[in-house]
Amino acid sequence: MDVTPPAEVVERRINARQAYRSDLKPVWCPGCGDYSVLTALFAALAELQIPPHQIALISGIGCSSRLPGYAATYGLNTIHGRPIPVATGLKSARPDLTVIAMAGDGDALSIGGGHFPHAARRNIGMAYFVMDNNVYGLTKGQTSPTTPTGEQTATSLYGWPEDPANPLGLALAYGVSFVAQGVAGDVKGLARLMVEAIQWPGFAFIEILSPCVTWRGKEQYDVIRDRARPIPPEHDVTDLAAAFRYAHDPEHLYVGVHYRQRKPTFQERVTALQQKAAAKGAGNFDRYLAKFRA
Amino acid sequence: MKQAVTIGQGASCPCVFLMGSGGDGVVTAGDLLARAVANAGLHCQMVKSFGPQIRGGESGVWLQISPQPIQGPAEQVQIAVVLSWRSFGPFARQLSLAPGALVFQDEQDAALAPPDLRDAGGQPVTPRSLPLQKLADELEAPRSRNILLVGFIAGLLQLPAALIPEVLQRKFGKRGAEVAATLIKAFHRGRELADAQARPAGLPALAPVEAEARLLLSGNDAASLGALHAGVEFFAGYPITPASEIMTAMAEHLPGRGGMMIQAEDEISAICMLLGASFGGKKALTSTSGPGLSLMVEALGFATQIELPCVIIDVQRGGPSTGMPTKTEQSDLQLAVYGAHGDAPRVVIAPENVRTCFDATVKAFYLAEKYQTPVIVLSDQQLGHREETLPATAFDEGHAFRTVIARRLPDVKPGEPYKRFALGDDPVSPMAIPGMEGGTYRTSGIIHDEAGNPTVSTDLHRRMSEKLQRKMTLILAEMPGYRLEGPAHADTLLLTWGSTAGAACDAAARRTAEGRPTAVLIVELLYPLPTEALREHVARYRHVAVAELTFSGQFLRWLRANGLALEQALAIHRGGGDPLTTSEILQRMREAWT
Amino acid sequence: MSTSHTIDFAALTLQDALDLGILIEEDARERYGEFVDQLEAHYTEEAAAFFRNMVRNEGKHRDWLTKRRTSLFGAAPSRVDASMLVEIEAPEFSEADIFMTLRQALDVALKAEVRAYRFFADALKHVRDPQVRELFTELRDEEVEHQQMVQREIDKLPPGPEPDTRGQADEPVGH
Repeated sequence: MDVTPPAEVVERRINARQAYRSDLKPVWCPGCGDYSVLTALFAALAELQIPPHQIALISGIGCSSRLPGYAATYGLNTIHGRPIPVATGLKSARPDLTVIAMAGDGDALSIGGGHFPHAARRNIGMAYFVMDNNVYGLTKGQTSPTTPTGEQTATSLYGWPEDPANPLGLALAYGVSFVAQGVAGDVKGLARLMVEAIQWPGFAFIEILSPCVTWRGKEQYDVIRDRARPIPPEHDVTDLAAAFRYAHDPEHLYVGVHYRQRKPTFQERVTALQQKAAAKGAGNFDRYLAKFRA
Repeated sequence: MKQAVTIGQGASCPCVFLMGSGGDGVVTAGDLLARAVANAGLHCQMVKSFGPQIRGGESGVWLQISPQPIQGPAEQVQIAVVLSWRSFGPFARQLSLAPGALVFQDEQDAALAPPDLRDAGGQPVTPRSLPLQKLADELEAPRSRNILLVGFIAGLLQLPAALIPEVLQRKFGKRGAEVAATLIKAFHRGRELADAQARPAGLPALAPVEAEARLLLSGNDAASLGALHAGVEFFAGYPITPASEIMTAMAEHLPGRGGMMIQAEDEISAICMLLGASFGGKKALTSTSGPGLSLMVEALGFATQIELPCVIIDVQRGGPSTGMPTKTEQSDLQLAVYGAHGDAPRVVIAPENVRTCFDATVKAFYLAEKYQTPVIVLSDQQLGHREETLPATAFDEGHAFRTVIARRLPDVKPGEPYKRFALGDDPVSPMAIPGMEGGTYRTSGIIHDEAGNPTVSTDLHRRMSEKLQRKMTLILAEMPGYRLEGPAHADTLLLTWGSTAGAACDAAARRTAEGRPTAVLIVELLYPLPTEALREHVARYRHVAVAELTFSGQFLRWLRANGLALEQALAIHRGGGDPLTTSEILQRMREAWT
Repeated sequence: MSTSHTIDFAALTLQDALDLGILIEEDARERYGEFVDQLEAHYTEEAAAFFRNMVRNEGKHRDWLTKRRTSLFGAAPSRVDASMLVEIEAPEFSEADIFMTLRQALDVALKAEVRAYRFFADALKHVRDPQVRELFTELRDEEVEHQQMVQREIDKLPPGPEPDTRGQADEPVGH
């Protein structure tokens, strides 16, 4: 039975998302895709009703990695490329928390690319949101690992001579247990994916196409809008081969869950081995010391 | 190694050198002897040296035995047994034979003995042959030469016969009664061999001492024990020689106490995982060596900046680059104290022997948690791998640094603002951990304000830098950070740190005995350096020497960079991977101050 | 680019419809507020001032609906999905622009009002409850008024298009 005064109930309800907003105002450029990501995240957290103090957002370096500062949760804007290991340490030490790692395309696929397969192998129980704008924005428009071939940027004046990475393809190859793609313009759709990713028991990756209006122009929204297609409802999300085909489609950017396959999480396995070790009496100081009696 | 000078009389304690190829099992023999010696109430120190092969390469064991605790590394060898002259080459320069030393070989190997073997006095030495393989074959245990050797050495040193079979039984008993019985037989045959030999001249008697039980362990073992005592909850690391033993110990012991060891994909992730766990309120540890510490540098600065506790044990090896993974050096000092961009204070402490590897690790956790800072423990291969006997009470209350503290949490209330990095009289601001309602904060490697939010305020940059620095001042106010040993009337001071301390103390004692009273100052706290105290001490002595195992004199440069007037100091340092010896230090002092 | 709405309009009660209306207004108010912050942070004052007006307007509508809801249904718990209701009357984030002029800001608002009008017009095709029909009709018509209001503001401006002065701005700063 609710005895709260009516007005307050209404107020609290409409502020559900606001409970996750910190008092720091974003410094992103107006029009930036990351605003949508932030709003979608608030929506997802509000939907899941996770108390802010039970959440930790761990980011790397870049425009998108400013995000944790804007949420009224615990948060760390770490060093370049390292959100995954910091989040891994936190989540494995504190499985009770909701841990979300976030990164830009530079963090996730260039400087920190080496951590991605290992988070997948471990199947750490955390969501990993990569805000991919195909460019290094914070450092003034250099190419990133997802910049399309031939593009002119601050570091490719005569056209970029390398192939872009395929984040979804990599995630699938690495064995990530939940792989999805969202677009920044679709706040509601993105929030739905986030809800699923945060609840996923294991490592859940969302590739978020999040335009940079300053370095790639408003046109980037149009390019994404033209190429984006919802992943067909008949797609079997446990079909890895089919997921690869969608990830590597030359024409369309498929939005939605590409792959989802439950497997044991790091925490589940660690809990089992902790029990095994405890049963053997390992970890007792005196017993360990006794081993060195000559 | 430089040719050590001959010391007139026999050494104060015998040193035994056993060498062979990996298949010969000389390390196993050394370990059995060390345990027997420990059980006889004596002290010993065992240093192992290996070739570059993974298994089966040349290996040597130095075993010092004494009725008194041993400080410095082995110098001259009184008894040497070479099971394989073919693989002796790499040890030829390292092995310094005391005048009158006895060298033994297997008779089947005699043809390969070097023709020009000499002792430290330049006198030729003729190896004596033992029928080791022959006896092993007779026992139908062809691999038991090392056990025969154990018996032989025990016999020469007149160790009580009863001690070894017990150790053999413990070590090999699980392989079946028959195996153990054969090995015990081999041991006794070895003893009989010794009866036919004359004892080397000048060896002190090694009568068993009625003493308390002893431990036999390495510095890496002691550090692991220290970590467990300190309440380590989380370990992440990457395998690296010579630090891996700490990692495997954590893998064995953390899960049973509800913690975990994560083998990270590299050292960058290892330290980052520590920071994540520490942010979550857990006591976190990693162990590494130079190449790994190099990779951790950026994250170390981040830890300083966001004031996260964590402990890094660096078991140093010869550098630079891959350097000499199985050899020792103190050359990570520079990286440990300077390794960061920006002004990023951290704590660097160093153990000086196996025992203090425990203390330093416990102290590292204490300082890390109390002052919310990364702490580097600078051990080295010499400390990490050498095994020493210690009293069984070595790590008990009153014998070791055992203070364990929990992190200071803030008194937060939902709805009230919380300043994670509050600037107040106390530079240590209580840290909330995720899950605490009212404690949420966001922060960053970017210069932040008191709440943790990024700022471009140059004023805040200065004030936050002061906050970090003031924590270092508090640490210096809390502990001396050094130890002074030697006569009060000394006119000479030997400044040193870490594993060089043992040889320095021995050298000072001998120098004092020569009528030149010499004190030793061992610096434990390398960052923050107790500069004021050191300055006062240095000023009191007529002669000052600085001894360390680095090619370029990193420690001396660090002392001078901190403002110590050491222009006239005698600099004793070299690279090379072998520890500085007592004689080397002594000789340099004699040359400088006749 | 919003994905299709999942609201079952045929099953909507008046209470649900009011709650929905409140959320739509709140979402728009919140978004205009963010635009104000974004533009103020970049010293784009004129557009920010206009969006600040929009914050006030949307807030008024929200309060008016809240009052009705409270007087009719009190504290009865809402059955409307609160967290996921986005961008019905709110402009999309992509529409903000760092150096946007007042005209551009007005265009953004106009577009949002048109979108809101369409939402209610589309919804009305499915709504059965007569009270909800009445409310949605009212809300739809209000959106027309808002459009007209914004249009009047546009008409006050000198005829477009405006000269593109973007090239005179300083280059972005690296961090």
